[in-house]
Amino acid sequence: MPIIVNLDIMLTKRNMKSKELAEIIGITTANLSILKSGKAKAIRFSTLEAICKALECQPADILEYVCAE
Amino acid sequence: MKKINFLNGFVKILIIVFMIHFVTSIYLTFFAPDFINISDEFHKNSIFGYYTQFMTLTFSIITFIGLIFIQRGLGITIKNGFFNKGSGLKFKTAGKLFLISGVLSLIFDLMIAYQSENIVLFGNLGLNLLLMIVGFSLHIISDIIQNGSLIKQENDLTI
Repeated sequence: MPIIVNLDIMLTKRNMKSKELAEIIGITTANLSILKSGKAKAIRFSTLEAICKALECQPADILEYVCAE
Repeated sequence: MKKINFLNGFVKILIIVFMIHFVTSIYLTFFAPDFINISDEFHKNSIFGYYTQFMTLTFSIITFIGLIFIQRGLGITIKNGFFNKGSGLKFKTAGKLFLISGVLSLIFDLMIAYQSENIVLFGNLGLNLLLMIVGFSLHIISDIIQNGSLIKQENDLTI
């Protein structure tokens, strides 16, 4: 998929663990793992909003488009 | 799910009835041929000759295999929920088998009815058409299940 999820990088920058983030935004660690691994098909605006709020960042800091060719 | 369980039980009973039918047919054909009492003249005149008596049994076997696929599909539905690929594939195969059985039975019954000039035999045609409709419906249902499975998968992977 040409959309890359840079959640790991943001978590490292903020010195936060996946489990903590999952608890703050109110999703399971399993679902956060799906999001981090790029297996997710879509992300809700509400989830994106919660992640941005928790990590104090912009959506572009988490999501990146890379040309597939 | 209660209705699916009921249908599953009903299909299981139907499978047992079919098995009894096969055993009885085989016994009567090979060990008590006088019971059926079909004249040799009838066999000589029919297109399939001696094997005419086995044709309906063959169609029953195809329907029986279809029933087994339905039962397996229902089992998967009970285990994994309505929308999953496994049950969709099983129902699709069952639908194809019912459709094949219905079409072949229809052709066969038309031939027998034409040959014997017996208007009563046309009564079977309705049942064959019903079997074809059931087969086609199963085919459509399996498409719905497979599409539903895809939507469910996407929904599950939406975070």
